[in-house]
Amino acid sequence: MIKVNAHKIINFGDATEATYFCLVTNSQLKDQFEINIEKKYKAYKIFSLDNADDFVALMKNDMPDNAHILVVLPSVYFKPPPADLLGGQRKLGVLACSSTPSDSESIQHFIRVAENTDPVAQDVFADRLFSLGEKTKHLLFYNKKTKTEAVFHHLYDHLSWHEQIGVLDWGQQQLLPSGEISVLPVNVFDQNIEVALDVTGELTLQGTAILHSGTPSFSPRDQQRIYEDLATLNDDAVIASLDGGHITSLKAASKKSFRAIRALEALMYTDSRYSTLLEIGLGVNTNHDLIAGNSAMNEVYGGKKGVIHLGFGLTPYTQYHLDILCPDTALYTAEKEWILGETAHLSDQIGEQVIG
Amino acid sequence: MNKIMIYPEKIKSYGQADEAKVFCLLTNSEYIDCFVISKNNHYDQCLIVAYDGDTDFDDVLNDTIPNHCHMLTILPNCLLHSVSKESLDKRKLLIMACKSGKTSLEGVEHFLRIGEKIEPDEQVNFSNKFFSKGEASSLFTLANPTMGLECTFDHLDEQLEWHEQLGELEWGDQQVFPSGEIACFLVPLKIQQLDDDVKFRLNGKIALNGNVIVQSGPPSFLDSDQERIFQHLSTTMYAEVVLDIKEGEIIQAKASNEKSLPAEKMLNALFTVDSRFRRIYEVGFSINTQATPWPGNTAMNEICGGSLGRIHLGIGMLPHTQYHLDMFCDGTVVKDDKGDILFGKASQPATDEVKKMVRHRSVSCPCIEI
Repeated sequence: MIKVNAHKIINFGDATEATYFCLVTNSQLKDQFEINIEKKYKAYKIFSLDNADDFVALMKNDMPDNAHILVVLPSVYFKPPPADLLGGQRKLGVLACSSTPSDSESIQHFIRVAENTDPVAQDVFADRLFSLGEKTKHLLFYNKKTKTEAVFHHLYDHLSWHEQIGVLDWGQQQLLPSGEISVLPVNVFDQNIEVALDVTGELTLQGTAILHSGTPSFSPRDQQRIYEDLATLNDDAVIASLDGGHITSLKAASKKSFRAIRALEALMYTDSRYSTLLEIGLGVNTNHDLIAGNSAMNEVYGGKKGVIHLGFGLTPYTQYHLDILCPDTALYTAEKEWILGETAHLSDQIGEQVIG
Repeated sequence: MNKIMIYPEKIKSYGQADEAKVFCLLTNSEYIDCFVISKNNHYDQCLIVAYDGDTDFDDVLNDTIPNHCHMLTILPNCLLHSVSKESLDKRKLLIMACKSGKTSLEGVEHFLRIGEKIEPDEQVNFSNKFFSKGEASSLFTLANPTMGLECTFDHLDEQLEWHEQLGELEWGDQQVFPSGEIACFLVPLKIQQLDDDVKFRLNGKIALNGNVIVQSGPPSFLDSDQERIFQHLSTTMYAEVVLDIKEGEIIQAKASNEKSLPAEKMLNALFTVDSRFRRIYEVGFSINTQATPWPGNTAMNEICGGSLGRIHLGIGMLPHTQYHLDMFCDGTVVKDDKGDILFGKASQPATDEVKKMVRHRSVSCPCIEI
């Protein structure tokens, strides 16, 4: 059984006496959930859904008007509903479990993470980031192990900052577990995914990889095989040189990451859009334990001090979207003030190799 | 450039005298002033209609194009999804495949002139002989005598679908123009999902040699990537890449010398990203002996049959894979179970029919969205 302690998911915020807790899941999982609401909710309901198109009818006909809704649909590519469909007396939390394979064990794991998540602490991270970020001319990435540095010009108007953090208000929706602040060029949502984030320098790709699929056709076996190649980034680093957000070269630190570099090069060779840095994500969920394997929900992992991840490709334009967590890279202001990530021991060395 | 003349009365693919009263060219609005229809024809009316793919094609048929019409589409800017026979009704549709590859207007004119030379009866006779010989043989062997390579092909496998882009159209029919291809497909067209366990019974070694086509379709891609992939794969024009094939799956692709190394490298990168590119989905037989290839990544080159027919392999399957690759195998012939060449360098007289190859008169180009 997959246990859900609904009353512990703080992201949903307060409930009223009329609020239901509702779970929407695939029919094959419907009987596998055990839901505990304590005294927070009036009652709970479980709905099955196997076709994303049926969500509209479910919301209009069956869903209580006052509800905290948890969506767990590993077999359905779920699109965020428009605000008028969600309604002003509902809140929606979506477990990000369809873009990578998710079994009952991983769903249980991330429901636990969601229950343990402290959304208020995430707001503190965000406030600090935006407060410092708006006062500095650029941001600086520095990897304490490889000493790589890169400058990110982050103050362009065409950048779009997204916060999957904090406590939901009525009528709002969020991915669960929460804990990501990400920035992408606005134009990517208008099919122009050649627009890069303006990052120049060297970035160290080392850590957990996530290979998301979407609506473009793919072979699940390929997704797993490519993920396993990329997972060798856990063993050793690949150093990426970037010019204006475009990867100009990749260099494996050792043979241990050879498979990763081969997969990355093949992706970029067949579809050059994979060589464009489209997303910088900041995982700020510090109540999170990484799970082994290709899991979308690892994206919000924040370690103890926040974790940077880099995103390449964007579904449905490219076949996959690739995230690489970089836990040894920290984020600083241009003035070398720490913002997020594991701190460097020799902070006075930062910036020496970078033309800002 | 000068306006391109279209001579509908020369196009024999529309068939012998029927009751057609209208000839209609559909082209993108950008190109509407680029074409002129010859007045020397028997039609009561000739139309040039703009179509940019943003309206339902059935609506265009119903609202704009009368029945008893011979239609020709030249749509470099949009995909045309297949049209049902019912929707076409008393219309005949010829489609120039100029979107999935990149064909200039000069290339379109080149193939218009080729299309005017087609003798549908000759293509039908050629095809009938091919199928007759094929059904008399228990096995095909794709052989490259010069390189000493052989690949067996169980062409009588009942799961295969044979599509003919040739002959005269009947009312409600559609065909790629210029015509001239017999294509053997592993899976039904428009299949919803590719099944990893469905495999072409192709076993052995075959050499890619000659021009290639990198066809795009609904999956997103960059024009510059398509062109770059085309350029790299096109090095098979200068030297062979030998494929080691087991049950229709490419186990290894190896350049015969350094000239075709870019093709080897690109194929292996495609295999790494999407293993479905290892799968042969089509064995194509190009039979238009009038057609000469147009430079560049041109879908209409698929019909070019040289002097005695040419073989190509179709790799990947749209819209599932990002591209569909057509790669010619010049120097490879088809031998029957007696070792006689029946396609390529020589032809053999028909023998008695024993087994049947399931034939389809194709209603659209089988491998691409046009």
